[in-house]
Amino acid sequence: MGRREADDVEFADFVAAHERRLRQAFTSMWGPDRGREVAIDVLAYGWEHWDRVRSMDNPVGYLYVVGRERASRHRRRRDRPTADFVVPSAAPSPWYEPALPGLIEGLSDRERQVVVLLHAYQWSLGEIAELLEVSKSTVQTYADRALSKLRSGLGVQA
Amino acid sequence: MSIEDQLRALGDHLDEAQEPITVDELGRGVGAEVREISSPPGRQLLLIAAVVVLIVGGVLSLVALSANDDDPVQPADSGAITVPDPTDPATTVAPTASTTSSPQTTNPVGDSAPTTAGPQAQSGWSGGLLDGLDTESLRPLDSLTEGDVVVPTGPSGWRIEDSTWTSPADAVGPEFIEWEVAVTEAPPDRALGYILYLTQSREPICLTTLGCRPSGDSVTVNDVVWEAIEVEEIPEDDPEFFDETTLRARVGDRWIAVSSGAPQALSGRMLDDAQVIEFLEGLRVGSPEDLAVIGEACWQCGVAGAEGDPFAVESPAATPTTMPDGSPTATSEPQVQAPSDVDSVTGRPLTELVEGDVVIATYVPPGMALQDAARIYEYPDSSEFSFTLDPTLHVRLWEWDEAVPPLGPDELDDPNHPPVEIAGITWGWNDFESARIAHIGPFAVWVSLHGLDRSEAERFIEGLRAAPFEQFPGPIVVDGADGLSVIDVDDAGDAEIVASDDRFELSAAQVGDQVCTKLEETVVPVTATFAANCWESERLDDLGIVDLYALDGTDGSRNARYLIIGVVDSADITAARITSPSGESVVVATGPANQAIDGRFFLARLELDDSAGIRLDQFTIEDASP
Repeated sequence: MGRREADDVEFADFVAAHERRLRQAFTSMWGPDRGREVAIDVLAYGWEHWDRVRSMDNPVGYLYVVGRERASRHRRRRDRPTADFVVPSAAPSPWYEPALPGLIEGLSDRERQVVVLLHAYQWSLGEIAELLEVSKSTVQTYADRALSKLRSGLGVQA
Repeated sequence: MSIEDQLRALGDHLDEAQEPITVDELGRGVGAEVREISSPPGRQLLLIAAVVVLIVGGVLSLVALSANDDDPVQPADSGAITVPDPTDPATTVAPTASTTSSPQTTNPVGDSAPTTAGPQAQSGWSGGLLDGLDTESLRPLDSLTEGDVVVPTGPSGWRIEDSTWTSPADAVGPEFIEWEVAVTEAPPDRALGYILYLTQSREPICLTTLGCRPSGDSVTVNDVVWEAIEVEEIPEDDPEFFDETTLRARVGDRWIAVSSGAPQALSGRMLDDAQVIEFLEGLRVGSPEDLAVIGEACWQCGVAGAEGDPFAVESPAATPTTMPDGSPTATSEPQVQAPSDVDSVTGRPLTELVEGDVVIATYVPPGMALQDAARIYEYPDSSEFSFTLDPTLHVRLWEWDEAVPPLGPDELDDPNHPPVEIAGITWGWNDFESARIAHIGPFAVWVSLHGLDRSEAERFIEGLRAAPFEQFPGPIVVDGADGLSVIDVDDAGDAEIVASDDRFELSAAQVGDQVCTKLEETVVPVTATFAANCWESERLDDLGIVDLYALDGTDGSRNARYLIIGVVDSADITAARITSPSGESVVVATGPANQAIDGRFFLARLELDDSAGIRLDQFTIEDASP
């Protein structure tokens, strides 16, 4: 196996192992379309710079920062991507209120990311805290606040 | 179903709707061509803000972006998605003068009329881009050289609206040297016309992650051969996807590309479309000085790789810096200014910088003026205090909580920008920010020196002093990239509340844009405890606490310090006592009366036991006015 082929295999293994988590992290920020798009983008970036990325202690974390950084940069631009949680090309689910995606989009960035990762994707508080660089209690605070807003928006009681 | 169950169902739905990403999908077959450099949503928004300026980065931009690729971000653990070292400027949004200054810009003809308006700006604009420019100074596209600016000189009716230019948001690799511009052809009788994007790269451009291929078609315009490339696969089920057909031409060692955006995708018509050909014919190149009249004319401001390091081995010999009005600073009337109310005598040497200090300049080089306001930026693990010497020189003080300091002298190995020692401090060079940087204790002090020669730069650095925050004479504008201010009111009017004391900020709400737009301009007197820009009225009604923020890491410990922003519903309350459910209590002065809320905000710090979570509704707030 040549070096290039070995790289191929190694990178393919990397994608298989980590793409879902990256995809979820970005989806929690921007929704499924943009989130997946960014995940693709950072993975492509990872491949382009694989020689360097592969040697990192935490290549996944690095790629997350690359994607997150894009969000930050976008925030300074008028074309900042907005979150869109309407599931594309899929039949409406009977298991959640149709208004829920819109309400999620209306949350603050941090609230949205926390509530989606915690409750939609079932990440742990610790995992989210690590991702967002905040304490677990802060994550819980954001989650509570987000849930409160969602409940209020849907007119349901806790 | 509970809301939690619904969310879980939504998560399942999202998972089902999202195909796993495969390696093949990443375009490995095209290798380096996989570079998506803009997003359709972004471009659609740019429909509103159609632009007609392209400024291409120069030689040093290339150098800087290359340095960006050397990003030393190295997360600590493997496996988990931890957030790596945010101290690396290559992956840290660095507020710059150009991105944080007043949105006031000049229009392409160089006067002071704003060019950032929306559709209303279209009316009455009939000129071409070359209005007010010295067209004789521009050269044909085929004479493009490094450092040139490529300008679309479209026919009458092509509209310039937003003169802000930025590097591609995705420019995380060294291969990007282009800036992107949106060009809209908007004749009076049509609401929207073409949007064309002009980019430049060292390598063949493909504007989509889906991959591109030459179509085999080409057209020659002014001796430049433009070939058409197509997206390899256009998803049928994505109505938002627009045809990314692109024309590209190789000019010297670079590629120039013109692509079309929604809603009028030009598709295969680009090669023989009269408007597009006319656009291509009008492309010209010139030096940044030639084109300074365009847009913000701030081609160096805050730009990664912008030249301006007077200590460089091969210094550009005090290249004149372009002022917004097009005049070079080097020829400006010398006017040595020192902030009259800065106590430069009591200001301590920079080596004595301590927490709570700001870095102030006691010497202002000729041709520059100290802006009357400083800015505070906040990041998750850092804070920044910045003041700007208009237009291109600024000083920033960053404090990092991370154990790993930002890139600095120790890590630097750049023969073109060797470390320099000034006043007992070693200043390294950060290519990405084009700034000199020094590590002083837990702080990183950044100084951008664009437009200064070596002697002035040295004198400026020598004049930097550390002073208590309270001693800073000017007002503070709260701003930042992480919700510290109303930074980007979107179409829905959403924005975030901001309150800040001298070091921390809290964001809490989404509000209507009128309020936020207005309050975005809030200037906080330095003596004020905080500023509150926006608020969510319903929360104010029922809680009295708008938000709280953990100042300390709390994992593994029972108590942590929290910064709490609250509100009192009376303008007469000048002090408030806040008491936690477990009895921690503090009395704090409230901020200035805020007419908008008919009350006052306050900030308090409490050490709380958060092991069982924090219930905001169990706090009590009382009038503690003397």
